[in-house]
Amino acid sequence: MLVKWFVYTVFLAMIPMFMRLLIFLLATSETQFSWLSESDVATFGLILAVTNVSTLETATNIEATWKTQNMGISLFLISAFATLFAIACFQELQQDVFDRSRVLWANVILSLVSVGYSYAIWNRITTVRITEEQSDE
Amino acid sequence: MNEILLIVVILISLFILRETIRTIIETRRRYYNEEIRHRYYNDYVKRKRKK
Repeated sequence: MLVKWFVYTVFLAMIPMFMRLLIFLLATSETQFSWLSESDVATFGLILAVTNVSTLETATNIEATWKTQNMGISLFLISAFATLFAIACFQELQQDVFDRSRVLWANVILSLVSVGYSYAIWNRITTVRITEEQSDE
Repeated sequence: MNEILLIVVILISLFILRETIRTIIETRRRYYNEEIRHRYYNDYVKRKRKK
């Protein structure tokens, strides 16, 4: 259950970071290139939040109030990550408005919390499904 | 402006963390108990059938 969640959500969301890392490794040493970008971390969180919405949408036998509440939180997370992504893009255009390290830390903190939140939702949905299957037997 | 951004993100993170912990505890309390109840009930039915 944990492996499935990790592969389908966390690993999938980390692909933009892996691609940047690959480009960083292939680039020549003279190139001024960062191996971790704020926009990649924001994309990571954005993918996690979108996966939450799709998982909640397809889940069956889930309490309606819990589903609505978590759907709302996930949509709120999507808007927060979209804002952070916009800040990251804006910062690349005009570098003196935002502090790069602070934007990066903001993205990292929210993304790490989103990993835990994504696991909590996945855990709830799979536990409900397993319990329902057992009660049917 | 940067400080405000970081404070807002930390507050949102704390809220999400609270929801995460609440969901995990609620799942364990409600569904794991139900799973155990079903398991015991199935064992009880099996024992009764044997008799």
